[in-house]
Amino acid sequence: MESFEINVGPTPATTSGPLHLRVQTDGHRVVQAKIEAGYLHRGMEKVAERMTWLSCQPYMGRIDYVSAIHCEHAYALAVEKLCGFEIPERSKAIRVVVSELSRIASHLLSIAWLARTTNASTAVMFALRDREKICDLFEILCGARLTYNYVRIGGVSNDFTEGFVDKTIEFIDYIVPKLQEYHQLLTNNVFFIGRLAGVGVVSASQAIAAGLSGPNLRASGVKLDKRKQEDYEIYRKIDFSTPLGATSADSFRGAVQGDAFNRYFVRIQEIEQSAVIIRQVLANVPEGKYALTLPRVFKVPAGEIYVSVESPRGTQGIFIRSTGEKYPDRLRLRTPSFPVLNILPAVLESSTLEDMGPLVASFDYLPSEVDR
Amino acid sequence: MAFVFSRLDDLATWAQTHSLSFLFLDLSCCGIEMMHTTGGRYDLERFGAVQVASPKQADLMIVAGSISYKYAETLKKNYEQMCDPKWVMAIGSCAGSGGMFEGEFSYSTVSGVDKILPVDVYVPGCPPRPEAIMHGLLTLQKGIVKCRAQNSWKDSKTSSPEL
Amino acid sequence: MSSTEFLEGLKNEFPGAITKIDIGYGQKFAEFSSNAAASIFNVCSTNERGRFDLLEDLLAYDSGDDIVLVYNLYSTLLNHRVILKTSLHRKEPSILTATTVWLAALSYEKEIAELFGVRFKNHTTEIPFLLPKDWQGFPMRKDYVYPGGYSGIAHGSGVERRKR
Repeated sequence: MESFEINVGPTPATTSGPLHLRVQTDGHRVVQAKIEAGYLHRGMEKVAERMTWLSCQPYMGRIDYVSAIHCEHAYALAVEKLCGFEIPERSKAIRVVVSELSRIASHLLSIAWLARTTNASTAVMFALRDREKICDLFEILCGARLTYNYVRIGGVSNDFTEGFVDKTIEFIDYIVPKLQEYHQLLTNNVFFIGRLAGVGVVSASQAIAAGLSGPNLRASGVKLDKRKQEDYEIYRKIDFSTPLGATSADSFRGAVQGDAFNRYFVRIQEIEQSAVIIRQVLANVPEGKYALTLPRVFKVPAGEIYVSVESPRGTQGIFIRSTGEKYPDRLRLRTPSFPVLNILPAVLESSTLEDMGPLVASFDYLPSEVDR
Repeated sequence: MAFVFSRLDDLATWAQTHSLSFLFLDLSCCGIEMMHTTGGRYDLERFGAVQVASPKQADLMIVAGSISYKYAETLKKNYEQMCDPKWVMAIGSCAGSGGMFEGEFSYSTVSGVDKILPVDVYVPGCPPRPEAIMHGLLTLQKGIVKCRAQNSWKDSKTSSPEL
Repeated sequence: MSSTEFLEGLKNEFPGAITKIDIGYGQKFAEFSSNAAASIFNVCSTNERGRFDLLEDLLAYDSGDDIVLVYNLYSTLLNHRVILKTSLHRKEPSILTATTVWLAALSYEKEIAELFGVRFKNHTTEIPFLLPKDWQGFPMRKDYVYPGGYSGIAHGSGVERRKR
């Protein structure tokens, strides 16, 4: 059969953002895949060079808008380290709680997108229903549902508001048993497993060579979690585990480490671990101030620094170069979806047309992170 | 006779406004709020608005998110593929006027969808709440009714409602 | 502190190429000259005291005089990190590609080539990456002039903003 060129996108189809795939197919097998990014390139890094250090903060939430806390967090940590600030213990605990809530929200949305591409529409509605509850929690806390601008340089923008802690614990008590619904609908569903098991396998060495991180890397069996490696906030004092990809010996027939099913499975287990972390932290939040007081226009001493946090998609890193002025000289966003571009063509080229959508969604590929 | 035709016209207007199929361009953060609006709690489908995959089947184009110069050509093509009567709703500040990436702030963002397409409803916010998006849809529906009532004696296209 | 040992070893092995070693904020920076790029990349990934298998980030910045490339290397086996920098001359910045050693460099180099105008020798991709195909200029350089518009769309909404 002759090969046929198909355009997928740039109008968003399988991702929440524009992505252009040009695939050559032979029948229904994909022979060659070319990815074109840049349809959402807003020039964030150049914008940051115009803004003062404090004015950059709202832009950070718009890069990875599905879990807006993590990029803000990385930026705040980088500037604080360069200035030599030591933030109060209470604000560290608050930051951990909101980070983990944001992680649960992001994983729910990634499950929704994966379910949407595999036509498991009930799971889409359920995931959005549960994500709404987290949006409510954030609304009680900081007034915004999606892009919070909550984690600031020096701490957070305000303390826990009235009712937030009780409602969060209520939500945690609700979501952990509710995950059984997702297991029933998706994880133990023979059609879902059949669709994703053994598809898009990325071995551990391929994943490291391509620069993957986060759940994508852990699904391939590499145990790397920034929360355990880098010493930031109070993660070293919390007891939690990092789930790795399961093999077919664990009752998921046909699933191998590094396939699309395991990338989903790692995420749903991480929701449980985030719940464990939130419960531990909320059990004893230290008293004290929630932020340092900063001057209104403040200058960061000259220097360069790289800081990374564990975002739901992987390693969210920020590199800052300061020349002592009140504007950053260079702000670089190392986003976790960027290295996925290195491996996505190879993965797509060994798959079929109907697997393209679920494969892209299984990497939790966010075009706005790639294009910035 | 005229009474019957005007009743039939009202029926057609009601059918048109309450069955808008929209092409949902979820380009950026506003797209996630739009997803929530079509979700279970703020159900947009009860107003008849159904999401379709292709511009050829759509009446309404909902632009949610920032437009970059690279995407502008595709956006125009999507608009031209839609059949008359068609409307455009711009959600969020980025689609409305460029938002935080307007003008000198960003080198590669278009300062608003209205530089490329004629927009009928703007829903401001960053991102706007789902209730605001629903309000935008209802405003568009009222506008279509008004526009059809005004133009019912013409047989030109019933777009660009006077709101 | 094995990454410090690694850097010292590197300095001894390539005396002319490594120009500076810095330890600040707990991070180890080393500057190298771009001619020795091939050998330094090889040593970083294969040396048993280094074993840097993950290229976490490759970025560039315009320091006013030069274009500086920053390679952020991490070792998953030995759990340490090192940051290598090299300065390229502004007029014609070019360096050997790192994709033969780390596949991760592919997308980073594409981005830097487009936004800063750096030429990576032996790097083989043609698709324009983040910007439209006929974009003029290198946006991330400090002397970039904002465009008046693109393909008929005027830039900005006509509102006067305060200058930086």
